Amino acid sequence: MLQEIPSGLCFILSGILFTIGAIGAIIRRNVIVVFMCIELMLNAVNLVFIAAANALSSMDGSVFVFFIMTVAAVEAAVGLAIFVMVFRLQNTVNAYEVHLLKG
Amino acid sequence: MIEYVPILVLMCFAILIASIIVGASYLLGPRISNKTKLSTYECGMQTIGPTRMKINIRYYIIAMLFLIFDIEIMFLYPWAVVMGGLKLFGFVEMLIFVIILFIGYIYVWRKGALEWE
Amino acid sequence: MNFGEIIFLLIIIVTMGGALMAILSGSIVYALMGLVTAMFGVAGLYIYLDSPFLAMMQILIYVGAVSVLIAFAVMLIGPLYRRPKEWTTAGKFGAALGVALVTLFMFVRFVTGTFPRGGNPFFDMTTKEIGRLFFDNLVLPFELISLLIVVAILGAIMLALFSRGNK
Repeated sequence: MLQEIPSGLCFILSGILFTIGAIGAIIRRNVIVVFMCIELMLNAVNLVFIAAANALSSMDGSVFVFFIMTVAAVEAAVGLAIFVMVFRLQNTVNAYEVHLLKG
Repeated sequence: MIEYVPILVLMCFAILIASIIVGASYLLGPRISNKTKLSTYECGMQTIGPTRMKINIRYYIIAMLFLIFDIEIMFLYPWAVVMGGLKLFGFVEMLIFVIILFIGYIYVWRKGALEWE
Repeated sequence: MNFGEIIFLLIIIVTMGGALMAILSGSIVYALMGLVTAMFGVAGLYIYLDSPFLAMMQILIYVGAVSVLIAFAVMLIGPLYRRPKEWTTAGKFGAALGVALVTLFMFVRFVTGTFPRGGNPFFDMTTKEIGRLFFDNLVLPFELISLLIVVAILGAIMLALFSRGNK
């Protein structure tokens, strides 16, 4: 039963993954770990797209995943460069101590 | 699913061999430790000053460029598969894609990010 | 329960274990390893969902490139800073609990409901199909992606070389 229709279980799993990522983004303070949690959430979203595409027999889901993956990788390149620069300038990557933009 | 069985066998063998190597050296090797053996190794000398130095940011730039052009390769794969049926249009399309990326590459080169003085 | 289902459940367990390790581990390098494990498991699930090309893409981009990039950023940042005090206040714990409860509630709603299924059952997302779709219908987004990548290159290079020019 699982192997014929794996998408039902994949929906639930992607929900769990998204929740884990969201909780991690809330409770952690290190910016890089928060970034990793965001990547985890993006992966969960990709998984639900693929599962829906599989259940509905449609190509749209995989196209979305294509774009999401590209944008996520590009975002990783720029975002991590920003973190490295913030660390060089302020000597910290604690999410609570980086508050220059906070009025 | 049957066509993925070789990958599974490969992964099983990889895990097996890695655990055998690590486990055998853990079980069979003698563990006689003294103070010199447990100290931090750096060319046989005691370390001077902090060992955590600042690492050059060029490593990061190289990794980032690898990521960017990795994505480009990912887009070349499906193009290469359907290339035969696309005629000239597909070729021109991909040419524009590659040229735009090449402009970025030229920029990086001229900016001196690839030089490792 | 046959062999394929056992592997499927194993992949699910590995994925969730990796995700939990990614958020709960105190060391940032172990967290990265957990993230890689979770991404690998997700790639395995893509194969079960009949899209092998996206599984390869997941492995090449996430497991191969993004994790290496994060590892390099950890190398540039990680060991130097004083480790911030993790495991924070009761308020944030409450917020996390709230997120978990809301998700649980939605799960209950979802599991009791049904998802519509349609289309032909013998459907396969091969590389060829994806290529057709991209090069016949989605020409403009495809070209715009290259523009996006170039802008990302410019931005990241500017950021990374900024410190050198500043000194």
